[in-house]
Amino acid sequence: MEGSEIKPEAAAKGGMNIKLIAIIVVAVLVIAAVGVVLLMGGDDEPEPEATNWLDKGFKLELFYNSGNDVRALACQLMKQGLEALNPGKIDITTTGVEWAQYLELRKNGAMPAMFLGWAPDYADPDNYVQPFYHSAGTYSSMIGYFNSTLDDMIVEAQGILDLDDRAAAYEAMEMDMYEECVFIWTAQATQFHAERSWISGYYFNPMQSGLVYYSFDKPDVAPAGAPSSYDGDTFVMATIDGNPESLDTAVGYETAGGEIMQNVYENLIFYNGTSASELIPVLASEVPTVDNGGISEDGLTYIFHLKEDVKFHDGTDMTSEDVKYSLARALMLNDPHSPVWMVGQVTIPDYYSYDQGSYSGSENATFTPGIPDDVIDAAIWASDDYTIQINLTSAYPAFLYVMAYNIGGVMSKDYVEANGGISYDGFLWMYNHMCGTGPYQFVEWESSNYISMVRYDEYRDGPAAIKNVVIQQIADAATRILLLKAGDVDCAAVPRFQKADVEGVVGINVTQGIGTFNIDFLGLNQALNLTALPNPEKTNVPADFFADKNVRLAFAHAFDYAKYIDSGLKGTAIQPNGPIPMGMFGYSANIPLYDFNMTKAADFLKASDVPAVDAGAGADTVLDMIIARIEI
Amino acid sequence: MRLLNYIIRRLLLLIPVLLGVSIIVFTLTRITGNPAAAYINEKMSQSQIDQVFERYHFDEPIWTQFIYWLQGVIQGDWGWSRTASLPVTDAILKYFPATFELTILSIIIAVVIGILLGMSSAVRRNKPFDHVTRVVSLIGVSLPIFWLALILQFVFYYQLKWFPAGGRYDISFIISGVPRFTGFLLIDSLMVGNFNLFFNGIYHLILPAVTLSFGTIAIVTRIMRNSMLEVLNLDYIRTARAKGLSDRSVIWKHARKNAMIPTTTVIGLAFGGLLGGAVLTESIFYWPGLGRWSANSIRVLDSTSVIGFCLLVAFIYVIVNLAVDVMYAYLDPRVRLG
Repeated sequence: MEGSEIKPEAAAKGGMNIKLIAIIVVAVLVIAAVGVVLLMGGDDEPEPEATNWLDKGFKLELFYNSGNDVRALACQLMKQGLEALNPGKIDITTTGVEWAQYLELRKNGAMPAMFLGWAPDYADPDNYVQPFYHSAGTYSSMIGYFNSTLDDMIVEAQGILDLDDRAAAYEAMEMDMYEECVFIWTAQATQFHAERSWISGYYFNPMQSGLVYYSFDKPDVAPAGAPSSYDGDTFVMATIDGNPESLDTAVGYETAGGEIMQNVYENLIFYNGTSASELIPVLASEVPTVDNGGISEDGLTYIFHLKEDVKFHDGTDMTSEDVKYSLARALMLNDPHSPVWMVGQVTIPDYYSYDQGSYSGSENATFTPGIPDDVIDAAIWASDDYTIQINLTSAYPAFLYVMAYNIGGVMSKDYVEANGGISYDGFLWMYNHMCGTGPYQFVEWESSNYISMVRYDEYRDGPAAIKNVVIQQIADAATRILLLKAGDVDCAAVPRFQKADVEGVVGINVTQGIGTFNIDFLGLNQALNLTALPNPEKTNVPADFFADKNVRLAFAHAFDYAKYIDSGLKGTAIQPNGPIPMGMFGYSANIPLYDFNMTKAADFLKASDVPAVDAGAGADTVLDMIIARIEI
Repeated sequence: MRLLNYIIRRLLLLIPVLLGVSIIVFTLTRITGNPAAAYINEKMSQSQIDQVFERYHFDEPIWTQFIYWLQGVIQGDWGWSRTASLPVTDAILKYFPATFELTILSIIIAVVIGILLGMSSAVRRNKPFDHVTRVVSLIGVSLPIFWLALILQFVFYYQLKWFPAGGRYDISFIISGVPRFTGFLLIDSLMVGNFNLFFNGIYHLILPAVTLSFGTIAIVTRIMRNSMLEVLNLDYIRTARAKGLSDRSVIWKHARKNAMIPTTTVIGLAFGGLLGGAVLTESIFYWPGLGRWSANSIRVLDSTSVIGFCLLVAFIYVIVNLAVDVMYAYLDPRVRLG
């Protein structure tokens, strides 16, 4: 037994010998290999380290939210353009991620570049410029872009009362943005609308949610080609799958609910027909201006005089108390999902320091408002039955457009109070009940099925031409198109990629080409969080890769805008020249477009700087590593 | 009495089953993605997103979240379905009747046609009728249901105008008002004596029900044929024939009942499956049922809806299986439950 035991020291010695031999063998092999390599390329000078990203090449991962085929195509086009600049050395991966993961990556700053879209809340350039270019903006902070000069310009432009001066300020800003190339604006969608030819009265305003049914008419008697089910009293809209979040103006923040609110509730002021910049009085008797005394000289006080003899659908009179109540209710609720921030941030001092109202769950017994009553009272008050005054914390001419959004819809105080008031029950009631002053009254919302409205016969400007409106959810686009062709619906939501199915069809009218305010863009992350990359092997650029303006410009010129618009969006888009879309106040045609130009892209990338790698921190050669090991 | 005891015991088993299902589904919804995503839109700032996390406890450990959810469920609050814009319990009450009516009709169609075809095919084994039935049922199993739905819709709605394109009733009934007591259109319409609505409801059911029944017909036919063939070779059938019973009596009375046992299992499973909703059929025929709701909920990771839906499906399966077991006892006197 004893003889067969191996002594520990001997074992250690034997192990060391083997290790030493192994190291020597490996070292000899590596030195030989290095020697061979050096001999083979003996005559050539060692290639100098590339100092620009074109020659050096890079790997980068582009993100989009999966399921969005158009954005997937945009990523693909960006990839093609960039890889063609230096084939083999530039390697772009496009990755679709689920919305939940997308949010997580966004939060962590872990996406080098991402395709997204933006739709406005109110028709003011500030609603585009601030989120993207101000240091505190949602998207600028997401990509780590901070520019104090631009910050000052944005804040200054927010408060300019003179329209010409304000437009000039935005033009100057947009020129800076064009040169800075922080975001790449790829497409401004244009509208596409298909309806039966017996329908009249359609018009498009990019700020509207869906249709305004008051403007529509159709013949009472079935026209030629109409099916036996034709009903001249009913407008049937075949819409996409998806329920509104809420029909409450204090909560709803999407277009499905927005469409209903827009027909049932009215605002003090609203957009004039197809114009997204001109406002007209609706419940107010005039649009406040400095000249008519509605806006104070300093731009801080807004006074709205209301029309008299306006009645709610429940028969009660509309007064300034209802206006105050509607706005105050939204602020007390202060739902973070809702658009109330638009009103809050300009009327409530330190708005973002307030929490939401605690109305949910079992806490309904003791409702604590998000914004306290006295703070609201200091900002909004009814000075008499038909006058409402709103004080702003700083001059903000865009406030008028805020008041034209759904959040400015006026609901009947008596109705809300009779159905729970400002309590959990009241909020629960108002999400699917409505009482406004608009031309249509809300009838019924059958979840995942339809929403119906009936005209308000006492409407002050005369009752609507069509009595009933049924907006039916029809999930399948092919079914919607069949229904439209058969004449069983008056209008249908037709996806862009299927527009050829209804174009040129007898009995169907198509309107298209007017710019919406929906804009697609590519965000370039200037402060990439390298430690949180989901696929570190697919990105090898430094964290501040996009802080180099030349890199950003190279990306902007390597994107085939025309192909994206023609193939991806079937021609239903135009290339934007900046964040402010065509048709909006502040848009300037003088701002140039980035062209798809591979030479320029290559030149810009050539002009970029590859940061010098610190010698000490540089990657070790295999030999260095082996030597280091031996020394240890 | 024994049967009643058996049923009660099986129903009590529901509690651990549902608890198990809820734990699994809850964990899965938390693993597969961030449940907060359903509450967050592209426009929200980081501070607003943080508020969402706080409000719904998404930043707390998963078991704490589960306890919050369970507390709610026990108090009757299953959470808010963002997809339906309704409380989850209301959403189930809203969508289940639509799916149930569709399922019942499609199962009736499938069972009647499937059993008849299966029996006839077995009796005429290897005759042309048998071959045709087998080929047709093979096609039935392999046909993509959305394709069939689109074809039926195109032919019978758009071209022939025999049936409506979809929906539960005509638009005119939306205008005049649809009664809602139980949510079951056929029951509610009869309760108010609105026979027009009742027949309109059935008229609207036909195309989607036929579409849904197609796959089940094929399976029922094949199973019925096989089990009939097996039964027809058994001694007692030979005895029945030997004692001079008519062919009709042998096949319909003696053979059919026994051959129904395996078929019942298949019908039960198909019924349970269909009750969970048929996503594509419901989408194409714009049927406001469970399938569309569940699919949309999964798509946006509306976790409260997904869990509610899964619990409902688990519940349905337990009940349907119980019913199948009880049916066994009826069909085969040798089977003793309890």
